[in-house]
Amino acid sequence: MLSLEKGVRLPVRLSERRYALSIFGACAFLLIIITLAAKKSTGFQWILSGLTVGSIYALIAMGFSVIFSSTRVINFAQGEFSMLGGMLMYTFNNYAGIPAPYSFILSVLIVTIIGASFERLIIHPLKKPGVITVVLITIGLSIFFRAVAKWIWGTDTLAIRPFSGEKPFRIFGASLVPQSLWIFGFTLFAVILMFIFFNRSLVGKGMRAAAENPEAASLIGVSPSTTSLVAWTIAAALGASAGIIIAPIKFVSFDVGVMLGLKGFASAILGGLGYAPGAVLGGLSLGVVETIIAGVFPSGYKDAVAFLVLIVVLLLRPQGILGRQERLE
Amino acid sequence: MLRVEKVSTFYGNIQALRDVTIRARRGRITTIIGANGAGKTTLLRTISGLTPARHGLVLFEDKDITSLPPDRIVRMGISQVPQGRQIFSELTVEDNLKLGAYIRRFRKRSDIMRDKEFIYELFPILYQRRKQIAGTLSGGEQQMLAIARAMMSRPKLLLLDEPSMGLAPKVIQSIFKTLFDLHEQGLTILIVEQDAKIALEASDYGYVMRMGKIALEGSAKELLENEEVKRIYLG
Ligand SMILES: Nc1ncnc2c1ncn2[C@@H]1O[C@H](COP(=O)(O)OP(=O)(O)O)[C@@H](O)[C@H]1O
Ligand SMILES: [Mg+2]
Repeated sequence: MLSLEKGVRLPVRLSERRYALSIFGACAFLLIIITLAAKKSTGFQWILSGLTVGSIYALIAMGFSVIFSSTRVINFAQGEFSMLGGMLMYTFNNYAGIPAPYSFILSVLIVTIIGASFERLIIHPLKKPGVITVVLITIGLSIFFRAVAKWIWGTDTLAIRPFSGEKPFRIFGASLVPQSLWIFGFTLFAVILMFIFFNRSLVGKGMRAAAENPEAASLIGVSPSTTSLVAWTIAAALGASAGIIIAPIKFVSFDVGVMLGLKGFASAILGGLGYAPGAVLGGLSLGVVETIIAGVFPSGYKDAVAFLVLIVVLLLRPQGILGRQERLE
Repeated sequence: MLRVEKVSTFYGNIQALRDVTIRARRGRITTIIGANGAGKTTLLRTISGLTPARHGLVLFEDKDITSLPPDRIVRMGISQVPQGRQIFSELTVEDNLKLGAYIRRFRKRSDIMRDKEFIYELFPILYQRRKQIAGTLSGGEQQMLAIARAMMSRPKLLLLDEPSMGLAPKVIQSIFKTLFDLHEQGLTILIVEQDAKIALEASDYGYVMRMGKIALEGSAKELLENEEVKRIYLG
């Protein structure tokens, strides 16, 4: 079938790699100059705001990475998990008046169940579907989720209450809303949890084994079907949490999943798809770059940054900045 | 213990096995020899469920396993050391071993610890390298790790696909010695080799494969003395 399934060997020679890295280095340098040239407090503000959205991108990017490394599928419905998370949070917290912590847990749980059921009910019954088939199904799914959300919640932009207060702190002349601290804290928590799962637990190690060599993994008893289910469950939980914790800052509407998904995807590509630490780095860098660009240029260009980054990375260093080349075995 | 009955296996439209019938008896070593492309790997893949048979039956301990998925087949007690070792090169030696016991993850930890110690006694070099990333091992060490990993599932039947491939004669000797030790302790072994003298000498029964078919079979002694086998396979 498609060569994607076995992993593609990406022919990047060392000189090209050095070339790519130096271009990324130059960009980073330029951004630092811009940041320093701006008023000190403004530069610091950009970084704080950038890391805030960047954390969200990182969480979504990890979702892409987990599913990609386990099943070689790009889940184009990843952003919709975030949208659904935000919408459910709005319903439980603002509408039904359930306290925020319970609403959060409830919303993540429901989206996780939706993600897991989708894997079990739609992908699992297809016997050995091609990668492209599943990717197309995820695109269909994202359209479906948006339509349902539009039908239930309408097209309004909904505001969610911050988890604790709205009064910004001042740090070195920059301001930081308390919600940002929640975001940093939760992202750190999620990254640590992922690390423990994939490096300490046998099931997590089995998933890494399956990512490296699915057949050898099945020969020791790692079932591809379980791996796929666990990957979708994790990705849905990560996506939902990301959508909920960002909602008090960015609001939520039926179509936020598109942009969040694409940004998360760009971050995952930037960090090297399939390599979780790369996804985190990719997300944070994209968040910061985007915020600085928005500070310097008219804000309309902000969203274009993600796609520019995406194109440049795919052209110069398709395995991502940190990512390793896929081996064809 | 294992019976493969008139099995035909295909890759798409290409037929790789034609009516193959073999047996592996409990407590014995059975060897299959054949040139490159004869279908040896396909046969082991069919037994393990990686490329299930289109026609025919695979029976293990009288249970039909023909269309079970690979993870179920390992659980039933058949473990394979695949061609080219296929260790998890990005994980440590120790993690590779722990993953070998994946199907026993709900068992007592102490059982698995004991098996790990047993394996480390069998392959002391793996103990020295236990913290190393498996991809950094030499070819011989990787083959030992592949066997060790397969043994961690406590199989009743061990399938080996060309364990001597690409290794120096001394290393091959040492690996086979370990296999014979395991056999002494009651393990049933089905081994596939191109260069099969050492395997045949320890076997009771052997098969010769050619172009997806069993071309010849007999006691190991008969095969070792067969003129054609001598000429083509024992060089
Ligand atoms: N993945 C595959 N797709 C198509 N044909 C294959 C594949 N693997 C093996 N074959 C074919 O099946 C036949 C048997 O191969 P194999 O079982 O690997 O032989 P052996 O292990 O004895 O060298 C060969 O003709 C080979 O070309
Ligand atoms: Mg072979």
